Amino acid sequence: MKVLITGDSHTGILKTALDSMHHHALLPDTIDFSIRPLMGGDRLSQPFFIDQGTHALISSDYGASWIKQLPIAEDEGFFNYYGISGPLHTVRLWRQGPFWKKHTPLLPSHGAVPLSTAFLRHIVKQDQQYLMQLIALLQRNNTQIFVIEAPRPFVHNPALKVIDIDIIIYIDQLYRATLRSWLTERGIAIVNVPAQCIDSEGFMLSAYRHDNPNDPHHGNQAFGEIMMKEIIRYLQQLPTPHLI
Amino acid sequence: MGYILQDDLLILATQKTARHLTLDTPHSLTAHGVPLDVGRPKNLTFSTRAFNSTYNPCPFNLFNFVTLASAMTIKHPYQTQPDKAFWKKNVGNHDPLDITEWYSPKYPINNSPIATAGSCFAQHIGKKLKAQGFNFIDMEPAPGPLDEESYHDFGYHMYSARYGNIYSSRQLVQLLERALGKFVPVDKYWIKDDGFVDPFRPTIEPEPYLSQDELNAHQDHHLACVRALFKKTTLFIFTLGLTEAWASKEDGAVFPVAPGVAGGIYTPEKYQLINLSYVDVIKDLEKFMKLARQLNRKMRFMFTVSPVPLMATATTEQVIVASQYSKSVLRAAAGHLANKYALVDYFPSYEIISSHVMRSQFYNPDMRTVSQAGVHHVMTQFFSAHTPPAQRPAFAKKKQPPLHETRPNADVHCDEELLTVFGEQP
Repeated sequence: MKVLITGDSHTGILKTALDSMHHHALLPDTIDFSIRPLMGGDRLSQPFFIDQGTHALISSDYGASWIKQLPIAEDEGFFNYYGISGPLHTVRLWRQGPFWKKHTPLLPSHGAVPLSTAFLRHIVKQDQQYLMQLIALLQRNNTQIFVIEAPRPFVHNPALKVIDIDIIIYIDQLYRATLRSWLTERGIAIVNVPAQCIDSEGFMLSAYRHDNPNDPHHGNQAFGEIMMKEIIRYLQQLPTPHLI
Repeated sequence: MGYILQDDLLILATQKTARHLTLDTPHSLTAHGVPLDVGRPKNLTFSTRAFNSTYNPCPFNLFNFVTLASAMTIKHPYQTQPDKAFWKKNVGNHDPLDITEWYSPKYPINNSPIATAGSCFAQHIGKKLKAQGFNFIDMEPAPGPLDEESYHDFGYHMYSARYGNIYSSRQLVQLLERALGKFVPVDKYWIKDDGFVDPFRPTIEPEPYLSQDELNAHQDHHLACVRALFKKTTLFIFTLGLTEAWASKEDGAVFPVAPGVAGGIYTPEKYQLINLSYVDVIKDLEKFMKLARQLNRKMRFMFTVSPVPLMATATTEQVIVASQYSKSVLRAAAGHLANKYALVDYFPSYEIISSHVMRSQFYNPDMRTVSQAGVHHVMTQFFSAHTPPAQRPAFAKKKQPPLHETRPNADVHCDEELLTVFGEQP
């Protein structure tokens, strides 16, 4: 089974974990992984590809250096499954300090501008519109896809110092629920962050924070290995694809 | 006494007075070589040919002449009317687009804080005022992350607050009464699908609120914004749309759409159609103005009538007939109030679009909605009377910095993460 994992910057720690697991012979022989990023999440929230009917031509120079098109062109290799990291990366919405000082999704609103659930769902889908379009394109071309969840919020994220923690939890959960619902409707599997990484409030345990103390939202190698194991567990329960 | 008839002016003159006038041209009048421009009635015109026929030099008294001439000019009321008052001069032989002087402002706008409300045509007015740099107030601007294409789906950037379309005078006065806590309607919410909608703006969000609490929070915030709006603005522009409205039989609350259309359930026992009369509209608007002026003594009003006919009538009339009733009542009421109150102005957007002399050229093929060219023409008339401010108001959108300057540091970390693991890009 050949699997390509691609997407946002969280593919970085998955690649680090993959290399480490490969070095320690922890990978199953039946799965051949390749991990190549597209670009950072903020760039994925802007137009980054052209729909060519049969494939997405990556139009952003930044992303095209690692991947020119999705699905990958046949002369560059074939992949049975594509794992995409990005649709469940919520930080772009909840870290906007000045915005969440004036607006709230919570009731009662205590003088802040209330935002409806419909509004929040809309801006979540607006934030993810290009990745959603990419997924729809890949599905249209019978590409087998699964989505890899990004880390939950870390408590050391500076946004927690200026934004009500309840707002962050609410937005993070609503964001994920909105995209989960969309993915589930389309029959796309999600590899979740396992409960062992999350505290009772829904934050990532600090044991999994990035080694760079200034990095607010990426996981570390330990987290990457946990996620790779989750991905392998998911792939191993899939029917073995016919060799082409 | 003799008289000279020229064009539409009847000029009376005594032989004695007229004999002492020397006329070089019809508008260059002198007496014994002294120009008579000063003190001469503006609309008094003379015919050189006619005067010459009675010319006979004799002593002349300028004061007597001017007094006499002034008296002579008011022999009938049309004599002092400007060109715009005459069909032949301003309409008859003109291309419709060259018809001018539709509107003479009662007062200047300058940098007054302006609010708009009304039926859908009013959206254009607010948008154009804002674009031209007028001090347009928006108490409920679109939250930052929302894409511009979706503003209207959530009721943003339509009017000065998210009240949606206000079609009737009754709806307007009740909005302010609700904002001030003077009217608490029985209908608190309408059920739609699995959620709740605000009966007084049922389409303000594309999906219903999830709970009554969510609806209440949004309604309370909106009404607080309406209160603040009326305290802040000094010119309220209201476009009257309809006289037909759906009302609760229980408390008279008026809704923008019929129950059952965008939520709620229509039952004849609970709701009824009302069709406001001329008297009703005047009473509503006078009540509204009184309330608004209690909040803000500087408040002035400008009424317009939407040129967009009814989409449908709930009366037994044919839709054009019903529409004409609505527009006639609204036009007459707006005119009455503008004549009665110094602080009320009337802007004739209805006439500019729908007058027969305009040959319906500003209607889209459905003969109902107004084209962008029509909106532009209406606002051109408006701006020819109210010159747009040279400078944009302080609330205008600030120039957006280039994207790379707005990227949060966290996103730079994303790039670092990729470069660290995957190396520099080839």
